[in-house]
Amino acid sequence: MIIPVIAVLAVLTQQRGDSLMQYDVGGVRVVQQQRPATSQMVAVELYLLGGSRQITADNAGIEPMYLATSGYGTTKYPGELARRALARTGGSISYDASDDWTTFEFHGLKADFDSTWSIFADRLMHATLDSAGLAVVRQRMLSAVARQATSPEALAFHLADSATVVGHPYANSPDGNARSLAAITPAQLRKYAEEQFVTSRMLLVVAGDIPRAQVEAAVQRTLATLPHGAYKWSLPEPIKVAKGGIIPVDRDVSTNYIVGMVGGPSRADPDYGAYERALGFLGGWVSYIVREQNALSYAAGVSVYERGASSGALYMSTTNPDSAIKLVNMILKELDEPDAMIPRGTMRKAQKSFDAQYVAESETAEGQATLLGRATLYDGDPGAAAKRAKTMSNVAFSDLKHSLRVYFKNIQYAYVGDTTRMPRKEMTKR
Amino acid sequence: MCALATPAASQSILAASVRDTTLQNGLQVIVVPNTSAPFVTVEAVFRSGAFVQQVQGYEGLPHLIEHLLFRSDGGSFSGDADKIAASWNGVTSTECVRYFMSFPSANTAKGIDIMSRLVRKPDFSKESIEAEKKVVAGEMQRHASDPESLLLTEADLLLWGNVGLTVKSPGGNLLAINGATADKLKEMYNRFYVPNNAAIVIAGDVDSTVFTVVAKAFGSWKRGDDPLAKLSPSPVVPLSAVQKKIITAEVKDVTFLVRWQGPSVTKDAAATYAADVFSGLVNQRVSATQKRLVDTGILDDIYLSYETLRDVGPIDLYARTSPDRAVAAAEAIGDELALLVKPDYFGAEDLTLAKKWQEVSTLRGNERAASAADAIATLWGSADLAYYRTYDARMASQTADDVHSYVAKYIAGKPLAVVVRMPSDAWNQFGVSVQRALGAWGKP
Repeated sequence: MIIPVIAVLAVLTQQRGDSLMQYDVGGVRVVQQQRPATSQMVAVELYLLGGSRQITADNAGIEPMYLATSGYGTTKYPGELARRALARTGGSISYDASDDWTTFEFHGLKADFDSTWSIFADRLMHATLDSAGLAVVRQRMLSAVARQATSPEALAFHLADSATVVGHPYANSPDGNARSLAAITPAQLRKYAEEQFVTSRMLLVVAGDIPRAQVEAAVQRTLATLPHGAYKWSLPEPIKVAKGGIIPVDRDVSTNYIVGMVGGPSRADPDYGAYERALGFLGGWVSYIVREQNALSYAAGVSVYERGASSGALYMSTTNPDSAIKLVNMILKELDEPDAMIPRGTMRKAQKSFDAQYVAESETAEGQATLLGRATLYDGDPGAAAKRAKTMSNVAFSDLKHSLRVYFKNIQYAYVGDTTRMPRKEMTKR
Repeated sequence: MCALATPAASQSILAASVRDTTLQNGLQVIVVPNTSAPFVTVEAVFRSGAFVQQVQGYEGLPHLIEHLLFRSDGGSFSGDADKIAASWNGVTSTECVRYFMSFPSANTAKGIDIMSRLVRKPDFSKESIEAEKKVVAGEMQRHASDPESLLLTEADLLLWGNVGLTVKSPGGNLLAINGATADKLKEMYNRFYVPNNAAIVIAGDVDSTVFTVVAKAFGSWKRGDDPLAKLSPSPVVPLSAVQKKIITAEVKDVTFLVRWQGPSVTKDAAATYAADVFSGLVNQRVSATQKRLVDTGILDDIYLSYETLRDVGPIDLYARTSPDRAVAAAEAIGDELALLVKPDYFGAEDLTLAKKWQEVSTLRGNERAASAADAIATLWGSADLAYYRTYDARMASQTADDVHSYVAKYIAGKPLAVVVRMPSDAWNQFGVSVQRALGAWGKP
């Protein structure tokens, strides 16, 4: 059964004349969602696939460094012209390097699609890599890496995640490290672009009220002229945490931050739906018991790291870590029991929340483009989000419990705060 | 209303997107239809933010009440919200408190009813109060642990002073939160949570029948006295001298936060639009400031903002760099403050680009119904619906003279507050030199 809110969205988009298309332009795979009469905005996301698997510890950060430096001039828009031409459209060009891919994207008015595309494509294909611009970008990226552990909560997440991905491709941060960022040369950037900016490594997603012919023409005269290469997209190996542990960081702060990471199945694994549901369910319980019932934390829950190789994180800030972790262990123990009962309506509630989130993200061109890109790459089909909702609705409580038993173990904790109060025993129970 | 519309207002895209009515009890109902998804956001906003802490004994209460209302109606809120697949939250800010829920539009009537019970049936039992005091304390401890909050708190203290800080800081303090009593909470609630001090904003997949639904859910709510009538319109003391402070924290970079006391919507609404245009002029990637300070590698970034408030919105210049560039940055920002206020700081094309960026940003923000609801509720809290309705048209009509007037009135030669946050080891190495560079800053 298709869930009502998603069915309503389907009817609405049909009435509006939305259409989802997939096509190839000179080797570039394009997914396009036409959204007539919704808004004047258009979103374009170019996925450069591979993420952490495309780099080594020595050249980590090279892709975002290239894309950022391209903002300081291209063959067609030398120097400041690239930024000034973009400013005339009122739109924005940005990039985001993540573990699975880098997105190079723009958001702007549909009336300015062609002019923005021209700057966008030239930045990818013909960056001049001006040395002064590169120096500024390098310094900014080094600062960003140094800054990533400024907040104690971010530090806890960073430490726990880093420990779980040792030996996995995700260990190489696509944003780079202090050593790699300092060493990357202009020649390396040029070579990287020549070798890596190939059409087989690209997925282009366009959402907005733009005719297909206009997109095709834009791609044909630019990206389609790049070599095809031989890249083949696949999902990375799952993250397996063989042994749990604790990374304590003593810091003089007013509360304590605890993050516990666990591994998870591949996105392609049939178990993935149950895993995502299980973590969502567990997060709801942790929040209810730790925050609402016992007022031990302002923020307590469980989040899923939605990546090709998934992982999950238990998190909380608390001045009473011993009691809070004891409660989490009690919840997990209870869910381990064969006759554990689930409160009536809980599964349905989790499903509704998932559907609602999907529908909310469909509201904007930007949200729609991101949904389509992720569904295409993680699920193999841009229309998979709605299908996934159907799969998710079939997850039974027994599947969910099984998933928690299999994956919510060997927890890798990071603890930032008063380490004399760290409940080591409770934190190593699972 | 149409007869009174100005030519500028008639060109407003925002004005065309909004419908409203006022119920007999004074509750304003604002609707923004958006059919891009079968989804709706409902917000209830009250003019009861930090500024009400000017009343003796009210410190900490706006924030605590916000938390307590989620225990309303016998604690049914969370379960009821789950049943309609709603995501929800509340925010206490300087001048208003907002409660918001987003859910599938098929549940609109139920969602509005839940919101009505949330804001009208509070639970001030001892058990609820004590539980929420602990949760609010947890939230404040998180803030106190965050170096970014530390920077803002220090900057607030310099800009507003001790008295002003009370009416500008939404969180309250632990002492006040712990000392809050049921009687005081009820008193403040009864005074400020009245329909004539509130608005309901609904954005998303709804039509005009939603007005009837809101009237049914909120129509019986009794009007109260005007809660703002007896309050001081402006408890903020003007900054009389330049204030400078360097603090250390467990951070890796150096951050400068330079602040001025900016315009008030009630006294100088025209300047608030110019303030937003001027921020756009400084922030655009091709601005003179970005070229001089970022493209030369002195700073990692620099950003100017103005917060639209009924009473004295802050103007913030935020800049970051690394410790080894801190001294050069302090000198360069000091020089830039003098250049920012010169008549030739920007040209005609710069102004056009800044306004274009603002126009596209407004359209982009409005694409998401929840963002539109947030913007309307926040601006209603500090100004009124007319301010939102005409915002885009007023922005488009700003001239270079408008911007120069704003700069002359609120930035040029005006006292400022600056806080520099740096790592302890950087303080040992560069602290004195940074201090010396700050000492050379004149009034711009």
